[in-house]
Amino acid sequence: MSDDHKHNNINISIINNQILIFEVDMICKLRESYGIIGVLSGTLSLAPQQQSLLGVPLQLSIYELLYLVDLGVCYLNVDVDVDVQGEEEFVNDLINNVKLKRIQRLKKLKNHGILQKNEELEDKDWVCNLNEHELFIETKNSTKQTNTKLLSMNDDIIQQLLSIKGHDFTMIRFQIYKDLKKKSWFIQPGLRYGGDFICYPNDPLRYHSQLIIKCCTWDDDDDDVNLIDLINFGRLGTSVKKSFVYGYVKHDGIVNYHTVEWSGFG
Amino acid sequence: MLSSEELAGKVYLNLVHYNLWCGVSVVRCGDEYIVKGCPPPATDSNNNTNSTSDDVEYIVPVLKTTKVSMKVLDSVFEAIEATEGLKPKKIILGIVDVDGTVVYYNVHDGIQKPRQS
Repeated sequence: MSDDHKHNNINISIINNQILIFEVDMICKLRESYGIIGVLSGTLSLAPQQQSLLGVPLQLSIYELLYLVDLGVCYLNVDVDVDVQGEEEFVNDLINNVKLKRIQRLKKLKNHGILQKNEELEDKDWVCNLNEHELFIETKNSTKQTNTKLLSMNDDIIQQLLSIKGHDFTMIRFQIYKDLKKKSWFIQPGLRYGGDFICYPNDPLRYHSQLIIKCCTWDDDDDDVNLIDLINFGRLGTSVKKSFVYGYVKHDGIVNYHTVEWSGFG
Repeated sequence: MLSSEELAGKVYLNLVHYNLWCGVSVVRCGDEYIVKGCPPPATDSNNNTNSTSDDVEYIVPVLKTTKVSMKVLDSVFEAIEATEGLKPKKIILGIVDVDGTVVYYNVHDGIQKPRQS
């Protein structure tokens, strides 16, 4: 891979229906050049409770991915396949580790004279699998990467990307996402406040978010806004000092917004 | 089910006698009735910079159980523009419940950043 290629493009991998980026320099570039933040999702496999300190890989939403595809800077790592053999070894390592811990505990109990003999015998066959691993296990890099493919906005690729399971994609949300990007907002997932997107005026590390965006249709009866929801969202937005914004797309393709806030009386 | 005129009457009474608004009137706007008026001048001395008592606000009475689409909200803005000659930056939804409660929520056309406070 040439240096030029490496510096101008974003390589993504789609593994287990997740859109992932593994290279730190690409994550920086996404943040600095494209205003795309994503969600860091990597953790220590044996200490997954450290949720405040997640690292690579960066996980992207389907909207972030399609936005990059639209810009024409997105390369898909093809033929990336997690080596099943490697995965089995990893799982075996984990199991052996648990067994090792148990045996150490049994030995300790035995030293204190608490352990019963039959329990010791039951665990005898585990001893042959003993290894030196403790908390950290070295995992071999078992992925095979042979090629990258430029993703462009054509129907085949769109269909392929939209077939990634679990991403609740709608065209309306994508149009609104693009419009918000055009207006220079930094966008994060909206689940925290019950919307579709959260908008920051700049890097989320430096600014509080200002908008909660909920996307809806213009005139589809099934998607009409319930006034009770409007009151819920309006009041929530007021109490967290954010504007609650309904985004919608008219039939002529124009994206517009309605901002809801509590009037402050009544 | 209350008619648009009856709803407007409820919002009118609430604004005049509970929230002490000035110059409140019920006007016909397209097929619906809306209420227009001015909020009372701010009594808070710290807040005298944004005295908005000259600005007329448009209140759209709606029953709690109604569902509104974005198209309906757009058409309200357009109907007010047609009647009053000026498209307001925001409308106020006066949401009425049958138990006598009325709550007010602003709806701005476009993205409005949260107020600094």
